[in-house]
Amino acid sequence: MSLRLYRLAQLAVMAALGGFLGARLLSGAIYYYINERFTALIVAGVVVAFGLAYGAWVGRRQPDVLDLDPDLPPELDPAEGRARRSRVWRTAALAVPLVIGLAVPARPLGASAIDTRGLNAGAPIAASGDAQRLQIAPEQRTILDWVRAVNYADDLATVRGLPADVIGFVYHDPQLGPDQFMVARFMVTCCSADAAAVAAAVTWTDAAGLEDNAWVRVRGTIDVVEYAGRPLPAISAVSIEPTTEPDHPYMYP
Amino acid sequence: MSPIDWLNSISTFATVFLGIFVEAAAFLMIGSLASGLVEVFLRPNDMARLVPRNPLAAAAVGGLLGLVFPVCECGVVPLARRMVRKGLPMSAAVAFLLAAPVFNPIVIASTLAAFGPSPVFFGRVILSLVIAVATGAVFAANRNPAALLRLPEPALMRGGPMLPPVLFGAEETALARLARVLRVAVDEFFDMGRFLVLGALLAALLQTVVPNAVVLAIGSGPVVSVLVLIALAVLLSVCSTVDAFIALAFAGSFTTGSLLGFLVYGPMVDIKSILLYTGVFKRRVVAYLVLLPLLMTVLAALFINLNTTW
Repeated sequence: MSLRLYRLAQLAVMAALGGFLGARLLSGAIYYYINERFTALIVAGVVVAFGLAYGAWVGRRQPDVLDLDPDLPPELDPAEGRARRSRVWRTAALAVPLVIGLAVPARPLGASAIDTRGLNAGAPIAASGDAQRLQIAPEQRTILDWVRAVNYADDLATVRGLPADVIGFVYHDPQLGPDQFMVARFMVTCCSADAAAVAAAVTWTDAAGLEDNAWVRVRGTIDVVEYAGRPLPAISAVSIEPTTEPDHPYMYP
Repeated sequence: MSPIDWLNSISTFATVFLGIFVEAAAFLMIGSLASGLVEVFLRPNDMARLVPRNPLAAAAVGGLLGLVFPVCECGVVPLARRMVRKGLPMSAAVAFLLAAPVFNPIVIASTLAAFGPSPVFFGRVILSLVIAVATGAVFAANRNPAALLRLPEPALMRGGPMLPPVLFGAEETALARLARVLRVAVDEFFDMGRFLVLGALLAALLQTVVPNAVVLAIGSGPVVSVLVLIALAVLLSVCSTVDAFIALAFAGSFTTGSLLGFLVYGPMVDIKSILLYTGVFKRRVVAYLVLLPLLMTVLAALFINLNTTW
C-alpha cells in the first residue's frame, strides 16, 4: 500500500471508528460493552479519533514516522517494501472491530454467556463503602442488592419473607427444577470482559414457558437457598410480567 | 450445538471483543496522543537530561514516572517507546512500562477504594514498583537500546531526531506543531492498534469457549491459587484502572498471595499487552518482560501465602 493510500485509509478508519463510537454512544448500545462510568472516556475517544483522522489528512504528504527513514526518498529506502506490507496489515487489523461491530447486531450479554461464565453467588462490597446499600428498602432492591444481602446478613432469618420486586432476564439453569428459573443480571466493573452474572432462583409454575433472555419483572417473597456452596436469594413468585430491556442492562457494582 | 447456540456464541464473542477493544482503544488513542506531544514538544535527549545517568537510579526514576504520566497498560506502550526515542535509558523505560499501569494516582486510588488500607493495597503498590524497577535494572546492563527494539530505528541508531532538527525551530507555527502531534499519534495508533485487536480477539475467543469454572476449579491451595489467578489475569486482559474491583470478587475464596499475583502481574502482562510489546521489542526482550516479572510475582505471592497470616 502506497503512503498516499495509507493516509487515506487512516483517515477513513479513524473517521469510521469515531463515527461508530459516537453512534453507539447516542443509541445507548455502548453500555452493552462498558460500565457507564467510562462514558467520558468514550466521548474523549470520539474526539481523539476524529482528531487523528484530521492528523492523517494534514499528513497525507508526510512520511510515516514509524517505519521510514525521513532522510531517504521511498524508492531508495530498503524498508519501503516491508513498510508497504505492514501498512496493509495495520489497516486491515483496525478495520476488524468495525466489521464485527457492524456485522453482528449489538446485544448485551445474556443467558448463553452464563453457560461459560457461571453465576457469581458472592457479590463484592467495596472497602470504601457501599455497605449502606444493604439498608435499601426491600422493594427497591435489585438482584445484586439481594445477593449482597444474603451474603452479608448476620442472620438470614432477617432476610427470609421480605417482599421482592426485581427486573432481570430469564436463564434456565440446569441445576434447577422444572418449575424454577433464574432471574439474572450481569454486573460489569469495567467492560463486558469482566461481566459476572448475579441471579435469584425463582419458583413459578409456568417457568418452562418462559424463554431464555426474556426480560421479566418478578414480584414475590424472598427465601434463601444454597448454590455452589454459598447462599443464593430465591423468590417465591406471586406475579411475573414481561418487561422491556432496561436502558442499562448491566448493573455496576 | 444448534444454529441458535452458534448465533448466541457469536453474539457473546462480539460483545466481549468490542468491550475490550472499545475501552482499550480509547486509552490507546490517548496514549498515542501523549506520545505525539512528547515527540513534538520534547527535544532529543531531553529525557536523558531529566533522569540520572546511573542506569540503576534511572530505573528507579522510571518506576515513578507513572505519577506524572497516569497511563494504563495500553497507553503506556507507545509513550514508553517515544520516550526511548527522546533519550530515556532503556532501564528507565522498562521500569516505566511495567510500573506505570499500577503506580499512578488513578490506580492507587481505585485499589484503595476497593481494598482499603490493607495488606493487599500496600502489597500491590510496593510489589509493582519493586518488580518493575528490578526488571528495569536488568536492562541497565545493555548499552545498545536500538538492538532491543523490533523495528529498525534509523534515526535512533544515529543518535539523531526522527525529523530534521529544523522542525524544532521557531519557524514551525503552533498549528503546524498540532498537526504534527496528530500525525505522529495516528501513526502510533495504527502501529499499536493491530496488536490490540489481535489481543482482544484472542481474549474474547478464550472467554467464549473456555468456561471460567474450568480455570477456577483447578485449585485454591497456596501455590496453585497463585498460578490460577495469574493465569486468569492474563486471560481476562482487564484494564488496570478497574481490576481491583474484579479482584474483590475473588477476595472471599482465594489467598491473599494469589490476589496480589492477579493485581501485580495482570497490569504488567496480559494477552493484549504481550502483543503490544511484540510491536515494540524483539522477541527475546518480550520473553524477558513476560518471564522476569512472572518469576518475581510468583515468588512474592508464595512467600506471602506461606509465611504470613494476611
